[in-house]
Amino acid sequence: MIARTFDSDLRIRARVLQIMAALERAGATPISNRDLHSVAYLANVLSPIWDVEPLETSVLKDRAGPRSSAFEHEIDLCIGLGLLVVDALQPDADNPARLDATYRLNARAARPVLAAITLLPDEQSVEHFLNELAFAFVEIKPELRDDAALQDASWSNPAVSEGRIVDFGEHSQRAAVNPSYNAAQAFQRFAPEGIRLHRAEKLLMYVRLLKRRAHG
Amino acid sequence: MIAFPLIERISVHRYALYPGRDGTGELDIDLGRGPWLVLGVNGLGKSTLLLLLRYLLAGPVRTRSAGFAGEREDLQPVNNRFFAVRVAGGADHATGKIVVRFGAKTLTVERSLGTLALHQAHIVDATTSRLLQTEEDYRALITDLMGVAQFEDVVRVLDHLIFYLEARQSLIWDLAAQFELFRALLTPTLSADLRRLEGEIVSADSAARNLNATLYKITQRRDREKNRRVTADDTRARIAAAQGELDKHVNDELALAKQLEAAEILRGDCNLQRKRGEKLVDDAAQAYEKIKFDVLRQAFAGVEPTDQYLYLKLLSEQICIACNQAAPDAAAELQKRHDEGRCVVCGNPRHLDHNVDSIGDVLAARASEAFRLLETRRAELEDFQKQYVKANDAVYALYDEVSKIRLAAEDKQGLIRKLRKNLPAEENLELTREEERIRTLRDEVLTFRHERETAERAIEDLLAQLSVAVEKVREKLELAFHEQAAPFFAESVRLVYAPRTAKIGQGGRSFDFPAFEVEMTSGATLGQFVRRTPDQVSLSQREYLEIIFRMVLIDVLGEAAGSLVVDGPEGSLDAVFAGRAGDLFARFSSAGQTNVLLACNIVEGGFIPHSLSNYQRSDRSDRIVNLLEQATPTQALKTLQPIYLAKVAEILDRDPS
Repeated sequence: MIARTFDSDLRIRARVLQIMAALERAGATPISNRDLHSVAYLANVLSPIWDVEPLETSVLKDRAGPRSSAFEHEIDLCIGLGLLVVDALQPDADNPARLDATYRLNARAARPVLAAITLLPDEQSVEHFLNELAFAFVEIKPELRDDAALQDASWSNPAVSEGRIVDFGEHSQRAAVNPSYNAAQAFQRFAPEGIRLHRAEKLLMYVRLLKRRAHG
Repeated sequence: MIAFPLIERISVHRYALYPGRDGTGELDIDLGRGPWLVLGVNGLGKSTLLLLLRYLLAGPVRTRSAGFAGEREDLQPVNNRFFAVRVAGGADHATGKIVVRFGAKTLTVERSLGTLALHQAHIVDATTSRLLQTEEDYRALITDLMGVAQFEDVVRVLDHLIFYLEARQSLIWDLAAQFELFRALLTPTLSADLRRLEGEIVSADSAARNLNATLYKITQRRDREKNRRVTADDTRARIAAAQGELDKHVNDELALAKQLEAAEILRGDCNLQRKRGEKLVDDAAQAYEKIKFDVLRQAFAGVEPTDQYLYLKLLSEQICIACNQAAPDAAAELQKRHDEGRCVVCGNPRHLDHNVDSIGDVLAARASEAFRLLETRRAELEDFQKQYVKANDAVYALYDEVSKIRLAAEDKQGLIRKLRKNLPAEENLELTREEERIRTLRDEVLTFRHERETAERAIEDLLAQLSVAVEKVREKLELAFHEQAAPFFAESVRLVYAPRTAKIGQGGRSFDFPAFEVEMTSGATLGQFVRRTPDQVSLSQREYLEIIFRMVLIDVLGEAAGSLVVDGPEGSLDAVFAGRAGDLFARFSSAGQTNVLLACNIVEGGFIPHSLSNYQRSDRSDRIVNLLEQATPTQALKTLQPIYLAKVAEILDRDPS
């Protein structure tokens, strides 16, 4: 029997809680496992807008959408520590061979941890960024939220085939040309003269673009 | 709009190799839908007939090998007596004629087989007809008909796409050839500019490097001369020693840059394998958890979802997610409680009939199989992880080495500057004069570098446009490749878009060039394995990956119209794959406006019957160009012809198995 545990990564675990807290504030919880991975992915590719360090800089382009093993493991550990609650556990409607869990934050247990995280100056900026992202994300219809990540510019980059790696800074020498970031920045070009778009506006406009593409 | 040639008719007149059926010196072949098989024995002229088609269309020229080149011509002459020397009398009166269709236009080309000179070319469509008699006019015409921008690109399309002949010109394994072909077909209006800028970059880079080499020699000579004339003192000796070490560092850095490039490619491959491994583990874990969930649903009745989740993780992955530790004993205990019909949470006995689904044999077998798969996937992932770590470490080790060498080189440069200041003033003056000459040369080097950089900036935009054009058809090409390759190969094969990064000159910037590569499963490696060189696959795989890639390009870029001409398609196949290859050609010929012309030996097995499977027995012989009857017989054939003819009749009468 091979039973292996991953090393825990407190940085990722903190981000799991921060994302869940932001989603809670935006009224997007309980959230399904797939949607949570979508938000985590968007947080990674859009992090340069906020000068926030992404948790991961690449992901396998899979038909089912972005999914990070390390992030998944930290979700599990958050559940094990009582910081997240599994709200429901049932067979996945899209793929009966899988289970689908939906989560919410266990506010009482998570609050002191989140308060400690927020004491760190750079994590305050992360919190603002995730709040903006969550409030924008919640505008997308719940049943189309997992599609939003598939519409993202880095994910849908035609230069990356399915089964290959979407690299937004891991080994790519050109992390600055992350297509999602570039697309968000491009909104400035369409702003009226003299108007300088705030990064929150660019983020919102970009997620609305994903929403429009997901809604068809 | 790109149009590939669809060969409709071939005529060979008074060429001694093909006297024709009745010995009149006329060989006429009307080609409709294919596949068409040119059958014969060795030495009868099968390959020559296919080459003849190629030379009738292109004339006596070829393009240089694919790859970045300077400002020399792409078109190179070939021996125009190629066909003449194969027959007695020099083929002085022999001619060849080919009729091809480009969309609604029909082109007839007639050439001397003695010199390959153009006799005439005739273009006809619904409303117009035009006769051309010069090679220059003909080249302009066929360039226009194909929809490319320059005649060199016509020759590239013929040699890399339409004709897959004995020389086995590579496309799928030759990324430079892919770039040139995509450039010609997808951005025809940019093709000439891209080629010109490429030439400018290579020439400027080469000039700069040559001058640098001269500069190096002059510097060395000056140092030697000075050392010879003046009594060598410690300072000069130290300068010379430091200069030697500096040169070595520069060379070492160049060598390391090459190693680093290879190491980064390997790391990319390992990373891809690792990510795919993670996905497979995730899938296997999820599948196993689901089976466990089905089994234990009743046992967990009344337990909160979070606790269910904890137990599920413990039971299926044998990991306690509360403390992130392996927990095989606890998992075994839970499993035991469940198997014994006790409550999995507290261990108290419970009524089996009410609360627990007994684990049926089928479910048990499924669970066992799913768990075995999970274990296998985990072991594979661990292996992939190790390989990635090793490859990543290798890259960082090389970066470290490069940094150390750069630092050492900077040290040496500083030392040389410092030591030179210590030389006597008079010597410094002389040195200054030498330095002045050297500086002039250096300025020249900088000028060439500047030229290269200007061309690099210009080509960047054009390459981006080409990439966009290729990316637009990427998915279609990948899907079409899958459709053709899946029924043929036993392995799982994928065509994957994978732009390559390369420098145009030896120095200067790197650019992304559109290219495709092949992934294939293998018994010897885990998962899909990227094949970058032809020696990573068998001979038949190599050839059929090439053939399928060509079929797909004709299909997607030529809107399913065009001919594919293949020499010796049966040569590398075993009994099973011969039939599959026949089916492949039959399928390709039955779609759109495509036909295939295949030159092959009279072989047993499924190749010929399967190739002609679209036709009734009675029609099959009409699809054969039987050189046993139409070519000058070899000495062996003079006695064996009846046996061969009987064999051909027997093979054509055979239905595909």
